[in-house]
Amino acid sequence: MNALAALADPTRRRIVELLAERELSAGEVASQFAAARPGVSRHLRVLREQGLVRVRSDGRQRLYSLDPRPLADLDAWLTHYRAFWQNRLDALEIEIHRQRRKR
Amino acid sequence: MADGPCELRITRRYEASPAEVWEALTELDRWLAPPQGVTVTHAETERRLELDWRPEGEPRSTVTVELRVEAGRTVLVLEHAQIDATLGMRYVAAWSRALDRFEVS
Repeated sequence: MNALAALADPTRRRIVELLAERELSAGEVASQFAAARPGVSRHLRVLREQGLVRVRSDGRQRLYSLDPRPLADLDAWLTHYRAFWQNRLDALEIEIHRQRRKR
Repeated sequence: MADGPCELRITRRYEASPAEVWEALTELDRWLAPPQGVTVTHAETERRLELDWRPEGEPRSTVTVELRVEAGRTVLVLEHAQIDATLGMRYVAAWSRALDRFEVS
């Protein structure tokens, strides 16, 4: 299963939406669903395994939050290719002028 | 120049006819020097060019280039979109808020 398949489940998508608002304990997440607690725990584990969600302990309880690294990867890709294409489209303009001089 | 959550879009205007832009555009080696894993999948003369963009180690993506005429110039719109990210686009807003918090903390 990859990260996108992990998001294919509607319960997992709802968990992601909840965690986008703020960090929550497993109990707080589970209280949002009619499903039994073990089902929610399983979904949280899948999301953690896919690197979409992370957990920390504050001593008393485990707190879940979204892992922002997937979006950071996307931002890095966009930044790289934005600069790449600006450079390449400049080169295209040079090629258009070069072509014109050949006529 | 407007980006979507999983794609970038760049618009350029060239003082040249669509035929001139297309002729240069299709000489890919001269301006693009495409990496390994890039193939042309669609070409509509003087209108649209599509590339399958799959360099090794990168997410799969597609590049589309469209040409149109506006006030005597050729407008070129290039869009580069990640294919696999489309399914997750609804949740990019959620990631974005998480990223903002990550940068602050």
